[in-house]
Amino acid sequence: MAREICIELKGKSSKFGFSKISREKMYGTKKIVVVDDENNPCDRGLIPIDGDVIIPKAGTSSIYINDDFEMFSRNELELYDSNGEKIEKIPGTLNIEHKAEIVNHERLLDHMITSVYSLDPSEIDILTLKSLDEGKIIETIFNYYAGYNLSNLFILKTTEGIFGLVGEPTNFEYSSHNTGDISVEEEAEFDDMDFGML
Amino acid sequence: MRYIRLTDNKNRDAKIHAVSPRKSNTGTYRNSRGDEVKSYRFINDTESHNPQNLLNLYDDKEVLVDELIKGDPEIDLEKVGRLIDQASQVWIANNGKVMYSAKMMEMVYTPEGEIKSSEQFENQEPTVTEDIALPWTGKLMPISTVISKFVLLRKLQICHLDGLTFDFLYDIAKELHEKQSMLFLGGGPTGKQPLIFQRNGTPFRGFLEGRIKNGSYLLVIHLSNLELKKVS
Repeated sequence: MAREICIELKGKSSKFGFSKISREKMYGTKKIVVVDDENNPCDRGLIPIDGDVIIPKAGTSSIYINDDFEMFSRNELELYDSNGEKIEKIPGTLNIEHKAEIVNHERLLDHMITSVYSLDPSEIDILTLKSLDEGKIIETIFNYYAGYNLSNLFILKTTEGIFGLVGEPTNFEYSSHNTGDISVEEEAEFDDMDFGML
Repeated sequence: MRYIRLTDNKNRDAKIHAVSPRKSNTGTYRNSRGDEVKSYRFINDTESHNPQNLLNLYDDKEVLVDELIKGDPEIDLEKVGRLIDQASQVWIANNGKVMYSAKMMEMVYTPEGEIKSSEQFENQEPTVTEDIALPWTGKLMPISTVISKFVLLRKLQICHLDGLTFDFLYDIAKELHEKQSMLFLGGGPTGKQPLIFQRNGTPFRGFLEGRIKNGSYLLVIHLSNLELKKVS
């Protein structure tokens, strides 16, 4: 079964197939390649601080170990926050219907966009489509794979089609300038300039 | 902290600072018993024992086959499994030798993955620094248009340094807020160059958004290098 983004807006369900949009697919890529004198490409390698060995590309592996040098694979591990509390893994959101709501454009602007998808509705509610046609933005949650980080998905329609933008909040706050209370001494005292104390 | 210089619609410039979004604290990994575990990097292969080098060492490949059956010439038993901490990055030529002077080429690929062009790479200097004022381009675009045309990937919050720059930035934010528009931002004297924040950094187009609320302001540069359109 193809994976779909499933939302429920005002009690009505809609489903979207999706395909990723990337800069590489749209414009191509630029790569910096290091070559030798005969224009043969070179590989990136490492020399440890001891300087006694050359490690080729993919010549290292990362593993998780505890203080007793026991090894663990990533899927055996659990994440704990800075207070020592266990963080529960969040399941993937695809093919599972999640509540969605209409949000203003500021909500979208308050997110860094990490992925972009072109959406193709396989089943769309009339009111949901009407909202998108009116230029409204629909927000729901998104997690491609099960993980510890839940992202937000913003669905919008443009003249090019329907798109899904996955984002992480910026958490920017408004800036103000408060110098605090400035105490101004009484004028009479200000006149009494004591040059003797200088 | 990154300092940049911004110009307002009266052609006055000011040095202000730009802040990236704070990364959320991801926490630490533990095993099922609750013991803390850490990620370490180990050597799993060395240049002298990698398959390409072994092939070069043996003229008669049958001898290499026999060696591989009899022993483990592909494993550097002295080095493999050793923990790596600090290491220097080097470039290794086809013959396995470290390059002491290398040439860098910039290869441009089409969306289909074919090479479009290749030329000698030249360093790209930043176009956004504290000494170069980003000009007020005057190109205002409705927020709804920007959102529907461009993918606003990265963000930088613009903050004041003192009371004077507070007024300067508040006025810019107020104008953009009232016009419900974003200002197109570009580098160079006329704002036609892309925004590049560090040497050889990713080039972006910028859009300045402003909001005001209860005497405070929010000014954000939204950075994009992708249009919101379907891939043909």
